[in-house]
Amino acid sequence: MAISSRNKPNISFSMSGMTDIVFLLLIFFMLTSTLIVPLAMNVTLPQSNNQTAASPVISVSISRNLEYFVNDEPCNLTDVELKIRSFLDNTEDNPTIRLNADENLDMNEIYDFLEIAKRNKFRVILGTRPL
Amino acid sequence: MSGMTDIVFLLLIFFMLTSTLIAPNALKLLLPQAGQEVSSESRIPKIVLRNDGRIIVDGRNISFDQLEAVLRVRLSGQAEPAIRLITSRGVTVKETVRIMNLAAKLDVEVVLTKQE
Repeated sequence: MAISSRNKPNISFSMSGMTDIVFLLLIFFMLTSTLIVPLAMNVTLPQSNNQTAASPVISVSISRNLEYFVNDEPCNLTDVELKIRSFLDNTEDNPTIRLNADENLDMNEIYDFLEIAKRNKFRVILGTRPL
Repeated sequence: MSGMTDIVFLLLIFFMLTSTLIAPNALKLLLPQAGQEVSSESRIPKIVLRNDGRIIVDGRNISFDQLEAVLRVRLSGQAEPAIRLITSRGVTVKETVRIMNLAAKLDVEVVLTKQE
């Protein structure tokens, strides 16, 4: 029999396509796990090794010169409240806010912000850097 | 190629897990709630931080090194230990966080108050 089927299915499995995808995912997760968002402002955080499970929605930073930043946008104490509200249009009931306060700041400045948070029923965590 | 794929998969799973498990470095800030003070006034130790660096626990002047031992004695046997941290004007965030670190180490809740 000289006639034989020429188009036999190729049974070998090519892995290179999957390897490409897996490599891409690998690089993505490597970057997201190591990339810690650096603070753009001149804020030296206090040191602590404590960790909290709460995941903050917004970060508010107070620099040593009493400059306020809501998610890196500068503003002053009087319109911090409005600014936070505008960021939080329709999220959950008691949103968590990360407060990045300079370690040399007077606690009284913190209380001014905590009053705002209390009025709006925000939960506040104080950002720190590891020891 | 399958050997390399195995390694890459392993790394992928490792980084996926670590990226979701990262907890932010932070301390919880609690303010006193209205009505809470009267019932628990006597049991909760009051720590006053003065702007000259003095630490006063329930009226007694103590040093930072002694604080841990004092708190351990005061809070032993309490189901939900808590302290009230009262800071005077001029006390910095750094000094307050130092006390809060100690409290976190002892698993004690801190309620922050401003001294009027």
